[in-house]
Amino acid sequence: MESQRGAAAGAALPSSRAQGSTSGDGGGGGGGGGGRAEVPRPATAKSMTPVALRRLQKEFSEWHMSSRTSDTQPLPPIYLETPVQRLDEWYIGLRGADSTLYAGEAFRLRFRFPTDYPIESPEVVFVGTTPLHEHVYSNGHLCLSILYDSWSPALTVNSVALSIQSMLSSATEKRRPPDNDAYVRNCRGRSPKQTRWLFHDDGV
Amino acid sequence: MRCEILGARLVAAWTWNASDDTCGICRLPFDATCTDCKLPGDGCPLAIGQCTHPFHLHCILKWLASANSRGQCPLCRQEWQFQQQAE
Repeated sequence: MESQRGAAAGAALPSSRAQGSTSGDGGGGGGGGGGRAEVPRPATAKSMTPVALRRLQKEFSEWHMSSRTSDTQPLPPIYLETPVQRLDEWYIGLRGADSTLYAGEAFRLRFRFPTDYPIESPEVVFVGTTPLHEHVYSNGHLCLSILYDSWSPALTVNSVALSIQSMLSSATEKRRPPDNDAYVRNCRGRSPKQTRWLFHDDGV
Repeated sequence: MRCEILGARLVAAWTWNASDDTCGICRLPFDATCTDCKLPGDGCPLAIGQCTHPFHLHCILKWLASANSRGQCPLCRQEWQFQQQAE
């Protein structure tokens, strides 16, 4: 089961990227969600279940309704990067909160949604500059239980991004996880969801 | 005096009795359906846990069937036990 899921995710991403860029594929099932007409609807990934599609469309329009997107000036502390090219891959901008160790720093999170989101958790990693934090590996992987074992379908992109921001905010020193080098060497290119995580620090 | 009623038009409204308006799993209103159903009402009922958290029955069943759930309520992580079907 593990390997099946891994294979499916691995196979889906590159190919659906190619399709998405040529034709913008679907529009299929793009009906629900409400929201404003001027918001461009991202191409729908073919393999998404109806539950995943409608949940993502709902969350997508909520980001727009609350104006927490990169269209907004000034940028909110957490925002959805627009335009979203594909419904199953979002980028969230995150700025370090004032009067924390990360004040003034900016980061990007990449969310990739499995076909049965929200029953299955999204894959969430930092891309680009990764914050220097005890639970963030230099390849962008996060050691955060809600992304893996403690995932709940009641969590949303927004609540996950908030948790990550609060994880950064509560840091008292900037350092990499002690096993960073070994881990990063080991998991070359693999999804963090394939890692078996041990969560030992409930305080953060 | 006597009056004769020639016709009447009755309208009824219904709503689920739940502590919340929307399902925490699919994020759609309880008075609509889960994503798999077409007609709201008895065909797509609510389920309430002993922890009092309501979901669409179909949504919570899907969650409980997944290994990720560990049998827990998505909102409070207590072990999920059906309370009763909403009336």
